[in-house]
Amino acid sequence: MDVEKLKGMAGASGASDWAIATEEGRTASFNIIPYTYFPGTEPRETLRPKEVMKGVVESQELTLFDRHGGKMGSSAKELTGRSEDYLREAIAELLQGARSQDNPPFELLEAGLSYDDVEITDPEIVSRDLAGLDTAVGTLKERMLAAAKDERVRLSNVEVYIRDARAGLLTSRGVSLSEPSTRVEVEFCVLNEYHGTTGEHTATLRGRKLAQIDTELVRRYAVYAREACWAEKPKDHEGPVVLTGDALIDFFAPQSVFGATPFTQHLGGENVYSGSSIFELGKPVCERFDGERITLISDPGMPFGLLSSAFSMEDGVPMRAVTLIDDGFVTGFLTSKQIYDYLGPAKRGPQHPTGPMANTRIACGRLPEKELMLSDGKPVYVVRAFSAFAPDVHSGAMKCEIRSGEVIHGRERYPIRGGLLIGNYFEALENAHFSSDPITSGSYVGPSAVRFERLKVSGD
Amino acid sequence: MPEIKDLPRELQELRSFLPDLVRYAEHERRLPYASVLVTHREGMDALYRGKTERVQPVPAQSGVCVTIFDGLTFYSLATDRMDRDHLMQAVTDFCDGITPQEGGHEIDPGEPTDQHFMTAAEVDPLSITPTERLGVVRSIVEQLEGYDPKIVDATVRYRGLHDVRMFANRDRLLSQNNRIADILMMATARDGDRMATNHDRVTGSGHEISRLDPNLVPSIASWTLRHLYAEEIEPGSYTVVLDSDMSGILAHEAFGHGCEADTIARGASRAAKYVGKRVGSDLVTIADYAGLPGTHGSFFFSDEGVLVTEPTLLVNKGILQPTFLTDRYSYMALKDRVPGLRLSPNGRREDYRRPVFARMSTTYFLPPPEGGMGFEEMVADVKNGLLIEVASNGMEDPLGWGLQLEALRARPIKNGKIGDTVHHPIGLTGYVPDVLESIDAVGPNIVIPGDGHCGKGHKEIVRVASGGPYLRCRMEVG
Repeated sequence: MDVEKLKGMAGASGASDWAIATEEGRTASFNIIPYTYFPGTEPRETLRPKEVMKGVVESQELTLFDRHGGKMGSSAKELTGRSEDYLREAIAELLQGARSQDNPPFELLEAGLSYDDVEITDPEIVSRDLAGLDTAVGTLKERMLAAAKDERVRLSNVEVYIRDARAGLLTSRGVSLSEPSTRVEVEFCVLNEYHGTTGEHTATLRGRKLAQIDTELVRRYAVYAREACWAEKPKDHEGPVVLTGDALIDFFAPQSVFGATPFTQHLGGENVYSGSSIFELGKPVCERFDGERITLISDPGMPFGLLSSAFSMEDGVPMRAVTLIDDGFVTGFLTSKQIYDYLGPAKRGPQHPTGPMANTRIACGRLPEKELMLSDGKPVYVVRAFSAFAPDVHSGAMKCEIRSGEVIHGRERYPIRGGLLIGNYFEALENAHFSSDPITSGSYVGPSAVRFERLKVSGD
Repeated sequence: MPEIKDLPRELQELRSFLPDLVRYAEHERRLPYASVLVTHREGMDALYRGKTERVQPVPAQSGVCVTIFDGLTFYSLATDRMDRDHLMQAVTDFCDGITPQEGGHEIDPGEPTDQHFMTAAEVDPLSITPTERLGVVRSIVEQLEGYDPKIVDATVRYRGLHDVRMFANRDRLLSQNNRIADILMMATARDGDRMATNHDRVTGSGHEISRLDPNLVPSIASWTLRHLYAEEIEPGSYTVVLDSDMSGILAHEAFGHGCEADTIARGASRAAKYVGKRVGSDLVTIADYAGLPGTHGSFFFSDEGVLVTEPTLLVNKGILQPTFLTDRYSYMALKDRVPGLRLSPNGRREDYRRPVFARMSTTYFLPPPEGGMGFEEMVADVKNGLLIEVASNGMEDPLGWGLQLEALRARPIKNGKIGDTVHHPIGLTGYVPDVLESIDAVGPNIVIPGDGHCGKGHKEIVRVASGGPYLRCRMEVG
């Protein structure tokens, strides 16, 4: 695609402004099923992956803005053709879309702002071709198997996704930005046998670098898989619940495609603007605090953080660390340039647009994780993974099945599986204690465990 | 050659070129099997969200995936460039690293055919102007936000879409234009710090879906307010009557995912041990079928070029069937180990850039052949239970046979009468065989409501649908 030609056509289109977002690079994916099984037959080793996939990334998205009668509209399209006729039709379509909208006007970002450097590229990924990545993935799989150190542990599958691309943004206001990045995701399922029963645990490891994939975690997940063979459905419980591992990360910084939390909903500037956020600047995030108060920072500068970046691809806003909740009180909202203008100085908090939610940084607390697990006469329920953590982001209501966890009661510990964790996200934070041990995982940095004193588990 | 005028011009030209790519890989390079898939979406969204309007084209996901099989592994090349010279050069380069494997599998390309398919629609979903599309959205927003001052926000999206897929192998040249129209409506109500939402959607093939039932939007608004003042439910085990939306998601999570043959082949589904065995009551019959007209999970052929011809029966009168949902790889891996296994049209990709997996299409409970129980009769038998309505989420557990379903609301049933109290939102769990064994009443009519999307694990989103009749069973509710 000739970007100069596209700029010329966009500039002559009659639109008030334009923006061109580009992405160039490559993807690779490897879907490995080490053995195939069917009851009554011998397992068969598969010598090669099911599918090896190489992708070429080369995309352009054009946005046109139109001001009309004190109103404003914008329309964006991913360009799939390259001919002049195609581009002319696309521009006409976008203009028609932009002119049909009656939104309040806002000012587009001007050039000349400064941007931080952010480390989000893995030289190892960049330097390897498809065959080289195939070799690296094979080594990764062997390390995962070796980490389990138990012949009863098997990998059901390993799916590896690698992306190596450069994103860019050009606008009619002179903004010209470009940023390379890499990303790797490893989704896998561990099987473990116990007295003829097979248990599983599925997990995804994510990072910007191959070296961030902590294959040692396979050992932990293999234990969860084995415990799943005899884990019991929990008994009804009302009291302390500790979230750790994937359950904790899902609670604060879900990394799946469905990822959203009540915090990201109510800290979203567009929801403040539309009246569908209950948060206000200077107000607490819950009615009272009987435990430690939460501090939450959106941090785009974390080295090799999954959501680290120098600028927002939406509009070029420089990404900066911003404290959204400070010691339990709301101090800022997430804003694009458009929403920043709409909210005005009284409602928006920080003195600059923040861009979207970046990595989630939660302040640690006073006690080490092991002290948060103390049962102190009544049982403590520990949740390590949910089947799917999908709270109602508006009300904060949570009804989530426990996929993996344990009950600690005095010196007794036993695994649990099933039952529903029931409570309210905001009310849970009224009496919470954050561990003093920090962990970093994907887009999360914060305590390794959080103890909520008043939650329910519905079980037997 | 079939009539293909409904396809964009560049796709019409590309279609005739696809067999050349296959021929090059198979004949010039002597590779055992090659196929090409093209994905392309052309559509327009009118969206009102956060008190602002947007009218913009739907992301195109437009590109070509060339797949070469060496006898053991599928190698796929994905590119968004569709010009012939580039494609031929890219395939030439890609084939360089692939050599046929001795003793590998052979792939049957299927009966030779050249066909084009298009879903029927009264008014093509792309035939209206952006202003008309936005007009539909504004009208719904006005009704929702004007219903009551407590409704503080509305999100409405009207999407018109042509979801085009083209496939070629040595014997097949197929194309399909799945026309989709979809209106999503969501309202948010607020009273101080208390907040609740409600949503509904209508899905079909053409712009005619915008002729909404006049009661629909007021009903969405009214339920939003009822959700706002919903009461907490006492967690526990209940007799539940599930609406069609909920029975569909139960089918999807219970024995949809568990019957995906790639999950079975990698040892992660307990269903493998239960072929021919009882997994539910006599009233449990579950099928998957992409050929139901007008559902969000409908298509004419899979992304591996397998034509949709008939429903795949997964559970028949409580007995698990060997007719799993297969992609080519899992079919090859299991065909000599599972008598009765067939290659089914379930090998699907999210788009040209994503891997292929065995995926569901439209998954549903069937009514009993002798006719089901009417809704009133089903409710009348319940002394103390719940009516569960409108699915919002679900999660599978094919090996552990756990189950998590989420619903927008529950209403109490006491001595055969549905009460006024509303509980919102609702979570349901259970052990799959226990839940299916407890099914003691199934309604007479299949309803496939709205649209759906399914992730395999947490990714690879494909459009699906699910449904069935009302049914009654026992589940843990919270």
